Amino acid sequence: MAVIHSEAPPVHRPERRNFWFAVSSIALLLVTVWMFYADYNREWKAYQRQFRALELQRAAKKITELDAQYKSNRDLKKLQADLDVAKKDLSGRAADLEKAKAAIAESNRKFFLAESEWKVSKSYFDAFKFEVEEARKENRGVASAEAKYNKSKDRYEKAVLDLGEVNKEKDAAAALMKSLTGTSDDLQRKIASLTEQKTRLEKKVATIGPNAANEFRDRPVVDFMNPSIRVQQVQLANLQNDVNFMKIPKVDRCTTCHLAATEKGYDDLRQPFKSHSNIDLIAGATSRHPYDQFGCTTCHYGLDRATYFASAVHTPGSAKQEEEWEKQYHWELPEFSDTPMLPTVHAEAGCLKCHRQEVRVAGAPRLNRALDILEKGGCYGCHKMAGYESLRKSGPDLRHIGVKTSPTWAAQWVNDPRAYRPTTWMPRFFNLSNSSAPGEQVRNRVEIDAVVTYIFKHSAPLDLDPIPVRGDPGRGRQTVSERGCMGCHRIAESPAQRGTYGRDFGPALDRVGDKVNETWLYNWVKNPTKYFPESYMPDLRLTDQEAADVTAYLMTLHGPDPAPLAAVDASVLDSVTVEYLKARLTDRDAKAKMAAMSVEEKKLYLGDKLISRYGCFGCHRIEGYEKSLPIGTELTQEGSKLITRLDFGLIELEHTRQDWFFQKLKEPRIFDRGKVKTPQEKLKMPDFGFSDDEASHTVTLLLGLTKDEPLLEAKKILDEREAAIEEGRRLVQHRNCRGCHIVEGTGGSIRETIKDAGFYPPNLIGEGGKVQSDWLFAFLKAPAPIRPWLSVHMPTFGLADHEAAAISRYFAAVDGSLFPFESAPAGKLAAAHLADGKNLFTQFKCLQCHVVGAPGAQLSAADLAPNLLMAKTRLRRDWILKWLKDPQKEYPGTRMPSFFYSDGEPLMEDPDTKMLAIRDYLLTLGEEGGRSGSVAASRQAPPDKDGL
Amino acid sequence: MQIVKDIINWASAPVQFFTLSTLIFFAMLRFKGWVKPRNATLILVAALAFFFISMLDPNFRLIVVKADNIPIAFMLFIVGFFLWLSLKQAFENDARIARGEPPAEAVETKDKLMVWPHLVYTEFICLILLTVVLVVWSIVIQAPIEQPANPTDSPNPSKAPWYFLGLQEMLVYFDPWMAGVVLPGLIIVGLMAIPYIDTNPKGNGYYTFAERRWEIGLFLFGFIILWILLVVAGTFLRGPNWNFFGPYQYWDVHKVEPLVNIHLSEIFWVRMLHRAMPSFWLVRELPGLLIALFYVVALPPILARTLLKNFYNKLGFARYSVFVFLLLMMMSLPIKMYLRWAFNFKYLVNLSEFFFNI
Repeated sequence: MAVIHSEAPPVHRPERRNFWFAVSSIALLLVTVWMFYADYNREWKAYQRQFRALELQRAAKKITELDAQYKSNRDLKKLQADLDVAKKDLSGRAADLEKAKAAIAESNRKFFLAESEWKVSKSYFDAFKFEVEEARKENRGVASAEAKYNKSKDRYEKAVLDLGEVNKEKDAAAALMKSLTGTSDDLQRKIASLTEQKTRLEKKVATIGPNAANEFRDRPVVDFMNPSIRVQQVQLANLQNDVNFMKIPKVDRCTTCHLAATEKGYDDLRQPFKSHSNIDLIAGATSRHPYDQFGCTTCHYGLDRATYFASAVHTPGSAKQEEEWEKQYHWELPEFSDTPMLPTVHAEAGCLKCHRQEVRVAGAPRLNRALDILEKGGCYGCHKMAGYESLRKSGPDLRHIGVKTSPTWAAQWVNDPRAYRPTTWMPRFFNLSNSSAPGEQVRNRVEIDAVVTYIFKHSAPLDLDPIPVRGDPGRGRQTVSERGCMGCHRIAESPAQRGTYGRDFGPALDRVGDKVNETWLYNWVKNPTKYFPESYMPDLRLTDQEAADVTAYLMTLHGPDPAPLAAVDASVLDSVTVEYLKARLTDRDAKAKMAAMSVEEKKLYLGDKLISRYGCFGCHRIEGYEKSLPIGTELTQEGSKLITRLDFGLIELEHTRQDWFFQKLKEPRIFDRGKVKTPQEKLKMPDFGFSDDEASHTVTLLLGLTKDEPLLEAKKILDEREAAIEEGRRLVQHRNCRGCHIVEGTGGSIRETIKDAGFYPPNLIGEGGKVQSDWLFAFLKAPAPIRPWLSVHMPTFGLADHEAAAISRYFAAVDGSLFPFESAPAGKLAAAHLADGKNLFTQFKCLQCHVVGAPGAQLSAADLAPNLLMAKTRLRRDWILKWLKDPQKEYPGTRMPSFFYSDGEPLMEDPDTKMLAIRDYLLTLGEEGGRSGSVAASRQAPPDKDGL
Repeated sequence: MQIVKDIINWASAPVQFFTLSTLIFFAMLRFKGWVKPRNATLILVAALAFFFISMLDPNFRLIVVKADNIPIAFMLFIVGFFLWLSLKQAFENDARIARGEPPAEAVETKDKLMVWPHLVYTEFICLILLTVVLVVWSIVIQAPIEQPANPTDSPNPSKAPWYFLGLQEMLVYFDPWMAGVVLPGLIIVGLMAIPYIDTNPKGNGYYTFAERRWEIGLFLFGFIILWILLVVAGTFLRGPNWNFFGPYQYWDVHKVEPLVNIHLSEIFWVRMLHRAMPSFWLVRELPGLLIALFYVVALPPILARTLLKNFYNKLGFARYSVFVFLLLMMMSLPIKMYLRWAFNFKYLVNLSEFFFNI
């Protein structure tokens, strides 16, 4: 009961409430509609609708094209004409058709009845069979059970027979029909197969185009039931996201918007509807990385489960794209993502976590180049990286530096390596952006001097042989340019970009005369490992005279004299020494101690401290620092480093990993800018002078060094053959075989210095299938001439047994040949057979090119071929046959003629027997010769009584 | 514009912020004209203007637009509204009582309405309106969900949920035991104790301030100043490393402020007596312990005879003891705050050996 005081304020009166109820209810209705609208209008739904419209457009266009094609297809027209004839013919036999149809209908009717009877009788039969068995077991009511069983058995058997009869009748009726319509059916099938593409497209259009179901299922509000516009996802159990307290399987939803990414043929569309690039390698259904097993985020990163542009953490690839995205998507740098999407240019970073064991990752050129840069630059020397602990230090051994060069040169070098050699990988430590003020330059001079003094003081003496003969620079020049030095070195060439392998493997030799001591150079050229045991420089087996010539020539290579460095300021030397002493002593004691040190003692003390500070031992072997640990940040998981842990300092950079890495590589000390630091607090990473390209490639690599660990099922695990290939590739890389040879299709850098193609070092294509493994092992250990006319000599690399074996195994694995043993058949061969071979040998004039001894004067180098006496111990038996059959296939571009076959067609009678005969004859040659000391010698067939 | 921002940044520094707010608080209770609708509307408009004009500043906007902080912005206006509403009615009733009239509620309670349908109807309308607000909120603003927590990557600043930011602010001045356990416990105990120590029969069923000056004043001081204000400070004025940042200042993670804290024992032994600190904790902390004891044991009777004489007489010994203890505990917070700001004073009693300090 309501009693309202007449003077009560309005809020107590009920009437107003109706108004507010109405208002709020309408508001609720509007808001509910808004809610459904917002759900209907999700970003990804719009994309799917767009894509669908595009698909219909494309299908319609394609159908029109196909129609036009079909119209002009003569085969199709003929088939259609034939079909018309057949149909007309059929229409003239309407009565027969009717009869056939009636026969089919009747047989079907009979079939249904017979089948039904069969089913029923069978069920009774099975049931009574069971009862009989039970009755017999219990020995009760056997007679009646048996009676029932027998009766049902009779009925069942009759039904089976009936069914058989009816089936026969059915077949007969079908045959009758077929005899009438067979031709036209056939023709129709042929036509359908020709127009199959169009049919498929039409079906597609019917499915996704506007039809009754589609009109309904995607409407707002009812689209919860079975929409065709839905989130597309793929669950990847083997690839996981590390969410810090556990690992969860990835669930990639990228194709919700990127609908055509896994299909071929959409390259002309704009994102998000573009096909993935290189779709036969990645993302295609038949590729090696199909989408349903790998998803997208394992390479591209970003948030896998997201369905919005922003929440997927897309990263723009350039400043321009960033602007576009800011306008179009209100894109902002994401704040809460530890794994933002990589810019597309760095997508190869994702390869690394599965393909670590490979030397070269197929399809990832950026990554491969970055791995080369890593090895040449020696990043692992200062920055610990898992997998690189056992790799040789990237710089030369300094333990005997005193016999090689002078402290003056060394000081200039340390001050600015690229002033002496622009293509060096040695970085610059001094006078960089955080230490170029005039006062600091004086300090730098002191530091350089201290380091050089220390290293030279601790340089052990080395017994060098004096140069025995006088060297001729002219001859030396010829030797250098012809003997093979140019496969690893350049002289007076300025490549556009510092290189890693091929002719950039060894240092450029310009100005070497300014640097080294002549005696040292002679000893080096004769035997590099005496000075630098781990050197990759091989032994070219030069005679003393040749070595002297080469030395004389190289010592003539000079460059402009650099400006001399300032003198060392003694007071600064003192103050810096005190600064380091104060780490352990009080100010007073430090000064006293310093005063008691001689100048050399101060330099040595300081040198030791500075080498520890700058980590010289990371790239160079220096006496006393054998056990020192790398000084830099560990990079094993640098790609996962939290952005909050990267010190951007006062530099205006976008807070992303790639921006920081790039900046750090280009100018490592920049993050000290604006900061107040004591000299010892300053950043110390040196400057490698990376080009934008080199730095960008290295950033790709760094982004790939993540803590993601895919399950073994997902990783690329090398099988035995692949592992052998990778180990071989590694050795081939480290010894720079590609400087001279083409290996697996790439290399042969030395060719650009050789005019005549006949003088190229051989292409090693098919080497594993061609040569015997033990021969190759022995050859690698101790090369001997195979093609004496070549001026380039295969060097002696000083390989360890296991290394030579690995290379031999590598070549065999590449070609799938047996390693290490292959048998030679026992037993003797028919004399006639060998005589045939010998005749053919003479007939084909093999020895004309395959010289034994000195070549004839009329032959050019391109025509010469290896000595056949080596065949027995060198070549594989079945390879010789392959070679004789088709030389171009085995070695494209060879001058060896095809005697026996041409394009697969035999050129004579019974070529195969003839080839066998030649091969067998060939293998009897060189019985006395062959490789001395090789394993092959013991495998020779025992000498026959006939002496063949 | 920058000058205005600088002034506001300055005024937001802890000392100024707290002092000015307390003064405004007392003024608000003393000068009652502000509750008049016209004045109140002006204050509201000024507050909204300040808020929206401040949104032009990117640093301010970053804090306010953060999805976690949106409820706090709402809360400020809601708290302000209800404070105004209640004080308006209280002051009006005080005026009426001063004139000898009965309070407004006495007139209103003559009206009667049935719960069903009238109250329920009103509640239903509120339900619908709240639903509308929530649906709009959920459509327009994304849930503030970040990525799964990384134990090696603590966010900086690591802030408690907004309703605990007052306590987190107390951590600056008090030992964690005190700020996190003892004082919050006493807050709850104090709230529970109110019915038992508040014997003032006035204000039953009607708003009044003049008749319940102490009760309301103390409670509002504790709630508005020591709770809400500190929540606001914790939300808007505390940044990385729990450093102070004005509302228009950029939250620089690298900001370093000189904050060396001194304990009473150091002041007493080293600075005043020029001696080394005694090694035994009891001797070392004796001055502090004595002061603390004095504060808790001796000060109540002293106050009973002087400032709080009326209370002692009204409440009786038991109630008064509880009341004065709770009051002294509550006041220890502002006292500690000022000691810290003025003298970098940290602990009265520094017993790090027992992980307990006062």
